[in-house]
Amino acid sequence: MTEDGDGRLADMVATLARGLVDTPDEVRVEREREGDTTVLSLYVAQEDLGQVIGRGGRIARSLRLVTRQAAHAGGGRVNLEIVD
Amino acid sequence: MSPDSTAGAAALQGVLDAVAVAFGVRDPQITVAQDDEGGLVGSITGTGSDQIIGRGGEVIDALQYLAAQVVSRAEGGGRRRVNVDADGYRARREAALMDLANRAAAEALEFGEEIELDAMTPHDRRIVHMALKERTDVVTRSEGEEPRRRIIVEPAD
Repeated sequence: MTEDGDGRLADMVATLARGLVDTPDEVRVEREREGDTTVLSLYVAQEDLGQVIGRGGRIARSLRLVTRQAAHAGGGRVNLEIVD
Repeated sequence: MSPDSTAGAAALQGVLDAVAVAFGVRDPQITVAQDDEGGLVGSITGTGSDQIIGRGGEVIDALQYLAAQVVSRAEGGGRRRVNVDADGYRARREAALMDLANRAAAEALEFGEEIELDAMTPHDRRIVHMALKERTDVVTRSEGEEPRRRIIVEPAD
């Protein structure tokens, strides 16, 4: 996937995360490449971790599914990590 | 719409815009509207929007779940129903389920016995129940536990 594609993926994750948390200003998404895989690291305020993980991890699972499919649509691979 | 529901619609619009961009949808058309029952309905169409559906609708369902959380927070904790569609998938799925319901009903009547359908999500089961609700010659019920819960169609007594 291209640099631009990675940026668009990171923007989507940030938009979703900002909508889920109490402190949107503390949402940050960092990206790096590991071979052919893009690694996105999502940072949120400590108190907001539960909001991006969800009961039983359902929100995190949904975020990963949508992000993975978006990368796939652009011919790439992505790993979304929620940093605690 | 009240100020709160405007915030929800704006939040949904923002999410769908970002999703369309991330999926690389060309010439995206994004709509957000309120349905008859006060729920929010968001839709993305355009070339490549079919990528947002996923196998068995798992991606569009995940996006819908996330969108509902975002809308709820934007509206200060409301529990409004949020539907999200891509590339007209929901309408196609509904038509296919109604067709399945009618075929099951015909089969139940032809053989005079119960027809057990495959397991489905609560949303999909509701469409099948609704499709046959008005009929007096067949009845439907659900059996089993999630996620294996499924519909039985049988002739009415």
